[in-house]
Amino acid sequence: MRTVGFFTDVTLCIGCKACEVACKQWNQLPDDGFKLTGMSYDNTAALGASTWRHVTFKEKTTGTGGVAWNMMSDVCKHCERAGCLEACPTGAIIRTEHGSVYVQPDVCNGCGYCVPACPFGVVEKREDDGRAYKCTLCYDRLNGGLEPACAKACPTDSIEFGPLDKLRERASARAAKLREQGVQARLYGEDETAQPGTEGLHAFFLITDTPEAYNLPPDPSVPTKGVGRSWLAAAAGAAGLLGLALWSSR
Amino acid sequence: MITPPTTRDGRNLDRRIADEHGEGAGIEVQRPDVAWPLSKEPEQVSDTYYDLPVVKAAPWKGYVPAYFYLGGLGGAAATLIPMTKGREARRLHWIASVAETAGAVCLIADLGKPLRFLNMMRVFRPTSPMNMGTWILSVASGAGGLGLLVDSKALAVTAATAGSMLSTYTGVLLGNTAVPVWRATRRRIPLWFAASSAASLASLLEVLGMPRRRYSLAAKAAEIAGMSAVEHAADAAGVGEPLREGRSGQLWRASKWLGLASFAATALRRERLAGVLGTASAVLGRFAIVEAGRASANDPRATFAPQRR
Repeated sequence: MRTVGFFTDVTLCIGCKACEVACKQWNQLPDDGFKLTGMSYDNTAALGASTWRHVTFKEKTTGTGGVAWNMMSDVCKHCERAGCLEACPTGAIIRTEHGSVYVQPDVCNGCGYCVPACPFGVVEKREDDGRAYKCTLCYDRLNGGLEPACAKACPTDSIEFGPLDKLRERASARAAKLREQGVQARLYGEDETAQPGTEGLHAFFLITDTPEAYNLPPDPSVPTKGVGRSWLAAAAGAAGLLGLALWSSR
Repeated sequence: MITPPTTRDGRNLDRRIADEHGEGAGIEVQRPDVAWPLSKEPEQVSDTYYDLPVVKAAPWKGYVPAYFYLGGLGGAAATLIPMTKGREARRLHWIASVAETAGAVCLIADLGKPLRFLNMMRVFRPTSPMNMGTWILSVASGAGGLGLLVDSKALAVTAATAGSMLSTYTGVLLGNTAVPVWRATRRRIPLWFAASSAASLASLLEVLGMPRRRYSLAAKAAEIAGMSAVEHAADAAGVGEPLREGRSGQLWRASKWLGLASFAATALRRERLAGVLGTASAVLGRFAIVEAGRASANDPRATFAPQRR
């Protein structure tokens, strides 16, 4: 099966949050409380166990004294090298035939290790349920030949869904066209070269500001990269313990 | 083409073509800003997204740092078993088995679905320190438990080797995350955990009246050095604040001072006191580093700053 994903273009986002609603409704997710955060129109604040699409709103002043919004529909990135998947000790988190990263709720035993392992802070464990949850890329809809609920609902096609290679082509063309028009457009996580730490995201973005403005890490990487030296330190520590035992028993 | 306004008084008029006969057209505007006494300064350019965290803290309860202490203690005890004989060996064997079992119980209690704890053994996944730890713990406690029934050198050596890894893999567990302070110190924490495990054992032996002086002095000195090494690595990466500030800073400082006091007490041959101080130091140290992880994950600047370099 072809690897599919999302290309989210913030220049088309109108901040309607249809994506958030569609996701909650299709997946029958519980609400997160109806609170006003005071953070512009962002009353969701972050992705979590029962929030799998989150629209960011950050007001900024433009060079000519006007006000602009950084609006973006954030989602699980379904990384090529996923921190949650590599950390999961039960094998509950798997790579599906669509290339997405999926948490099997019937296997997950709620150890919570995937939560700090995600460089984007996506997956979360619900204390009352006990298990970890995140965006499934609408696995059930994909298996039925449908596109994910958020992409279907998005009125401006800011959220595009499709085969990853096609999305990457369209994204490059779109970014180039916008730059010609004077927009500071850049792609985020589009492939392995752009984001070596995750080896590319299956849900990547076109943004018009720094990643931090959208609460995205500028240079994320799957924690497993470079952990070899940590294991070496553990082996050295273990050898030290055995050595200490030997030395002190003389 | 739309002509841009040519007035700067907030009226947005083009004086060349405007018909200025409105009721407010006669107001002489000297300073546009005085009309908005309730307005605040435009939001300072913030380097974060409303100071919200970028990554998420581990949702662990106190069971996990408690396991770090118990597993470390048990693993260190196991390393001494092949080097000792008779009554001392049997006592160490019991300490190792009880500590490792209590540690396993803590881990199971921390799970969101404790009855599914056996799912940890569905896979053998080297990328996951937590999975590797499950296997290490199983081998260590299995060999240790069997060794209590069957007197076998092979079992003792197996338990000792697995035990030594049991005391240190937990450092890799912390480092294999996106938490800034753990990530930055991931080559130091396993070494510190090794020393802390030895110091935990040394202190317990002192409390039980079975002190091992050389072991104790070396382990406690190494533990203090290990903590300094962790601090230095964290500061070098610019993420050392949780080890100085807040609740985690308090726990860390307390652990260090208790560790120094424990070392001094051992040196002065006040073993029972040294044991109590050393145990407190080791336990607090484990809780400190886990709490520091929570503070670090909740600080967006700690995630952004190292990645901007």
